[in-house]
Amino acid sequence: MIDDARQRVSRLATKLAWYSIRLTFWLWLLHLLTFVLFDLLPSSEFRIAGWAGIDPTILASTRQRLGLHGSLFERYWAHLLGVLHGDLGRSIVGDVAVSHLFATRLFASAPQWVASILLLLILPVPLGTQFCRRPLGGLSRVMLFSSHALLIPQFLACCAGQALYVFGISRWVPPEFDELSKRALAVLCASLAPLTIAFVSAANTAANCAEQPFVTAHLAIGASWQRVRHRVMLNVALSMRPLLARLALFVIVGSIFAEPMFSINGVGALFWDAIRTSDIPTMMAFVLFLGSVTITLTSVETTTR
Amino acid sequence: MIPRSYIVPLLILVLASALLVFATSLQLPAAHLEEISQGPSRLHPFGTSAQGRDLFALSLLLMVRAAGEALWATMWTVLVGSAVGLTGARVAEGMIDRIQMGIGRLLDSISPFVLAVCFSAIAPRMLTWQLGVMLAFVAWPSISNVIRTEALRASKLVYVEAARSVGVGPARLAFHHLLPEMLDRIGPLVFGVYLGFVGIFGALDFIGARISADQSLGFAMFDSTSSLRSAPWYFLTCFTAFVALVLGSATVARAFRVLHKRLGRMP
Repeated sequence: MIDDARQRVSRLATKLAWYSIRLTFWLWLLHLLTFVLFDLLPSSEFRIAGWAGIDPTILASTRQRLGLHGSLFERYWAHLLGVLHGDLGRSIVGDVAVSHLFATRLFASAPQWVASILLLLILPVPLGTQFCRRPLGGLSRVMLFSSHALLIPQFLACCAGQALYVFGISRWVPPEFDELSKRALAVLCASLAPLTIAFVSAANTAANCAEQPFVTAHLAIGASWQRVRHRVMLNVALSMRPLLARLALFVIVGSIFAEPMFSINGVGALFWDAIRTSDIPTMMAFVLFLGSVTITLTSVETTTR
Repeated sequence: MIPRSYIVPLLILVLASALLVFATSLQLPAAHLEEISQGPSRLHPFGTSAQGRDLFALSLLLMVRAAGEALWATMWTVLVGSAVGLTGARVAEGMIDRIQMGIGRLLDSISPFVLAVCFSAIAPRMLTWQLGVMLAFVAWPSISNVIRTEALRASKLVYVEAARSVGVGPARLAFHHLLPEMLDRIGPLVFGVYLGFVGIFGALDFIGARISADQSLGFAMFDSTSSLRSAPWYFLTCFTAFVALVLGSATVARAFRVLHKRLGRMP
């Protein structure tokens, strides 16, 4: 019995070690791809000088200041070592450490992201399971079809959210709740598209529930429809695991539009500012952060499959 | 001889090219400084913009431009995605296939929008057609994964195996047997990619990542949000134009689908 347990623990440890190695490999590949993409593109001096070029002496000194001197391999190695030590470079605007900027902004973004993830975990599955009926009525079909309309681009959802705030919420809500209402709207706007994706996916899986063998078997042995629905809900929830990484990606990308629109100083707003000022180190840090979150979530999902 | 199933895709290709040429040749409606931010009137049924342009004419023009840009990027993405997907299916489970799947997974994990925004921010002078081509090189996994799966499925069909056994080459096999078989499944996906590009181009200009951003629907949306209280008609017109663009594209896509089905059934 003890030997059995030891063997299981050893198998689990080997599996976890293997998955960790794979995850590290993917993260390294992500870093390599990001570095290559940003290094091969024309750099920010291009914005100032255009195709005419720039004085080579000024260019050399600027590259030296930004830590972009040396061969491609040297630059890559220095960047990789920096990332491993938590140094993501210095922001071109204000000459502040990007890691410090990111850490401070993460605190402002975290509440919205947590709220969005909670919404995504709580709402779509129970709502989608309501479509587990036999037969699916006309009204349900119309509702399911029209829910696709909520799949509008995220920046458009943010615009609609801002219009709602200006014409409605800002007039009715007392000033002490203004900040809270802005944050709630930011959460809603950033998670509208992922919520719709999750809901449509859950509803479509649930809508086919009557054709699934385990439902027929349960009904045949006299189980109540309510009990069957609980099993379907579990099945739907499990079937949505592969979507998790994509939904998280949507939530973070959504915050790029939602945070500046509702004056929240988070990571999304930081990226927006970095784009407007061509702040390459900050943009690189955001891309690395986004890719790492998605890859880690995908790996966790694959491990627990 | 071109297979009958390619008639509608070729028709779309010709129309898309014409739309792109037409969209780039269009000039913005004249700006009248004495008519800045005016409400709806008989002369300007949707009001005027912050630059004094008629909003109806402006939104129509920007809709055509947005559709042209998105179609251009979609065409390139389909081209690159199909090439990668068919190559992947031909060398399935080989080293090249694994590498392309890995790159696809990495690009998917970052999102084409974020990469497009970075490209535009670093090189804002990039022209629309250059950005479209560049976008194709980061958005191809969405097409190639489906093409690869479909090609692998179709390559096991009896008539494909028969064609291969009588010595039909890979290019001819792909063009005459594999792609026509997949067209029904790829159609909705391509439309999804097109809508994605409408959103991406709109979002790029909304953020203001491109220098040419002052002549697009995304920038007009951003511009209109800053004058929500004083000129709500500006926001409403731009928002409606965006929704109309998406719904109009869906209607056109449906019409093409019906046409494709009818032509496909002809003897």
